[in-house]
Amino acid sequence: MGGLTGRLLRFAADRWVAAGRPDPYEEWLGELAELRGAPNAGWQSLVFAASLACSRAPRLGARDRSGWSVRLAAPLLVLLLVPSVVVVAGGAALRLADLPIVTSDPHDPHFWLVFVGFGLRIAMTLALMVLLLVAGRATGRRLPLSTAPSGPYSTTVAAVVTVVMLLVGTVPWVIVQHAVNGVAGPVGGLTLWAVLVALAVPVVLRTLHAGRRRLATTWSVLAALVATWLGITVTVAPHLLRVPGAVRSLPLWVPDLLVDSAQILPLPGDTHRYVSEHLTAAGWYLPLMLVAAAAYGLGYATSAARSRLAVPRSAPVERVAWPAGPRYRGLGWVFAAVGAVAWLGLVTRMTPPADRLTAAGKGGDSVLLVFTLDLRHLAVLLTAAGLVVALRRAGPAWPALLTAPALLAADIALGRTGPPTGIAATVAVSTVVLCATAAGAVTRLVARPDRTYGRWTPAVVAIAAAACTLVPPVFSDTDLAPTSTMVALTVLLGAGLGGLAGYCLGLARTPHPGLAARIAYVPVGVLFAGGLALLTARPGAWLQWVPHLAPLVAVLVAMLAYPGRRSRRLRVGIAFAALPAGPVCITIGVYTSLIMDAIVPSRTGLDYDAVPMAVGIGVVAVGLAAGLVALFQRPNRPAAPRRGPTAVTGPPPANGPSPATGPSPATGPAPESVATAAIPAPGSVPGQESTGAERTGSLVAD
Amino acid sequence: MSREPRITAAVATVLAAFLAEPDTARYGLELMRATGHPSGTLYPVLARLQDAGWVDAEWEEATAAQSTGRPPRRYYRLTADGVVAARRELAALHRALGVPGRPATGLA
Repeated sequence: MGGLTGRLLRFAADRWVAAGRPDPYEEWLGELAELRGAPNAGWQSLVFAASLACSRAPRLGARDRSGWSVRLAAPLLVLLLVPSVVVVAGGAALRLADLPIVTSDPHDPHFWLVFVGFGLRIAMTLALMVLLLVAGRATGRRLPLSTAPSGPYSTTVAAVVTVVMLLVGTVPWVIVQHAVNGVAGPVGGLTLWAVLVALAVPVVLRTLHAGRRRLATTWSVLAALVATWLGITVTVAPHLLRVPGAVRSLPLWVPDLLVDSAQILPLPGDTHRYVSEHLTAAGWYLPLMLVAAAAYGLGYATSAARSRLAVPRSAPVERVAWPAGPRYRGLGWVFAAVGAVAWLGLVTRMTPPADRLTAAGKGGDSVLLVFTLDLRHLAVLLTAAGLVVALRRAGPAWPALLTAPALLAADIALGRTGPPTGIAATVAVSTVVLCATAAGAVTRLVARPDRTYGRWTPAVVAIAAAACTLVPPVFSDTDLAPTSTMVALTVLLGAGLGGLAGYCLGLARTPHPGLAARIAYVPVGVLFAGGLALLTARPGAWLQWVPHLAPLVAVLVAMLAYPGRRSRRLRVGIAFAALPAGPVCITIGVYTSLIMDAIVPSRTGLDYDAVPMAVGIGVVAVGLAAGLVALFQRPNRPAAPRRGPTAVTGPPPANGPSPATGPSPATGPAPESVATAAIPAPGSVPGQESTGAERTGSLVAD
Repeated sequence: MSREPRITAAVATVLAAFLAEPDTARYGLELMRATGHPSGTLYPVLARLQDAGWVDAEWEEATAAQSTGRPPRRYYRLTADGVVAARRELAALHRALGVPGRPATGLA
């Protein structure tokens, strides 16, 4: 047996051992012994061993129901999204560090606050890196790319795939930067960054294997910083070398970008501002994105490469349960109350002066007003998140989740009524109290749904449709069409979306809803969304948002019609249909007004039509696709018996099926979901017990 | 506890190969030739069928192997439950696919 054949065979056998199975090496050696007498024996042996080395070892004791696309989709999509999520969310968080910076004049008595801001930014960046490192490790343990045992193969796969996916995730930002500022693509710098991160993986891994976890964390942070510093310096160098005086401050280019201030550059006169402006134009987004992506990637790759050692396949993976004790419920109520009070305070106390300052031309080109708006959105989300925690496991989650769009709608409506008055404040207080009370009441009244395959499809469709109802009011006016017709169409579509959301809520309410239950919420949705659109719609808006949303809504309806379908075609359809919705969702998203307005100025005056909105397309489409993947996963539990008359226990055909031996339908587990029950089972075999979910996947190729 | 395997195309082919002679024990290479599947497909299928209790495996007597100058083989054979289940699943598959005639159930 050749050396390569032997290594491949040993590698394959190790995978089986790692999967908790007996070592099959001797058996396979016996088969190879027979091949020795065959013509072309060397090649056949090599093929025999290579085929085994490339295949996965089957899990012991349980079926792995998910296909390779589902298994790989989650980790790859997470890696793909990390750079963009970090830039959007992390960038907004870091802006909080700018609050102490009230002046840029060195002679101002409060100038020392600038350095407080620098310190805050650096501390927040380091904290973000450690958090992402830990998150990456957790993801690597739960979603490893390979099931191969720990070794060079696993390390290489984890390192290479991780950096490649992170690189791909940076592409939209590179495109945006190129389109907006005309900066040459930072191919060389990003490649250097990726190579350095990949090379750091085995070093960190070795430290982890030596049991020195803290040292490994330190190595990871340092490696991420060094790789980012070198990568960015190489990236911006061609642009900055043309700027007079910039070379002298080369080591501080990256710190300048990180703290977003020219004060850190030790250059005379106004040169530091000039250099800093060029730095910002060349790659404002790079430091945060690369340093965070490197930290996350190192955590992920090292954990994924050694996960087989930490968690053998035969051992159950420990699940981290979301806290649901009384103390956490109380904490949830506290968060909800803080969010609500903050929102009310922002609406009634902070928005009026921000309005006045902006009207007087002192709001920093509306930045103050927009910042206030974002803080209001954050407060709304905090309220909804608090309610979700407070009502956790008391019933279905959707009542608490729906408080977010309800409060956002109230926020928008209040914003359109002009400066807040006493009536507006009263309406705001009433809205919060009503939302919280209704969420609590509905959560406790409605039975908690059974987690069954496809069970969450109606809920997801409902939430998506409800979220889309916010879109019409957000779009502003154009002069593309007569007012009355367009407003009518906008109201019609808003009411339609609301009706769809209401229908889905009714469908999600019980496992087997009748017609009355299904349509019970439709009037509520129609009135809510239609009324909202009627109050806030402006002429011509439909021409912009209907093309963006129509494909997604169509696919949502298709999902509703065929909730159990798992076909690749539908998944691809959902991803593509979500593409046009990307700019819309980004435009109305929290954080985006500050971040996106600042970095991707529109070329056409319509932000959602602008070329730079490619970022939004990518982020939202991939995010939606990732979220929807879960809908097509099967439940990880024993198959439930089929209900009703199809579970025949009579004698089998002459040469056909045997009598059913499963549990009786009368005493079986929880009933199947609407989604599962709705799946037709063509060609079903009498006497054979299986779920609809099994039926749809029974002919999946290996 | 055994759990029924998914009836994939590969599993169906292996079951059909077993059912061609239900009482005969087969070793891996022999099944590879009978089904046309590569080793990386066949052995995971056999493992899953063993998990389900449809197939038993046993090592060849060492003396028998030594007499022919080769290492012992591991032989696989359908269990009684496996024969019934395999016939049932293949019959169901044929019906689902609308294949006319009788499937290869191993019955005369």
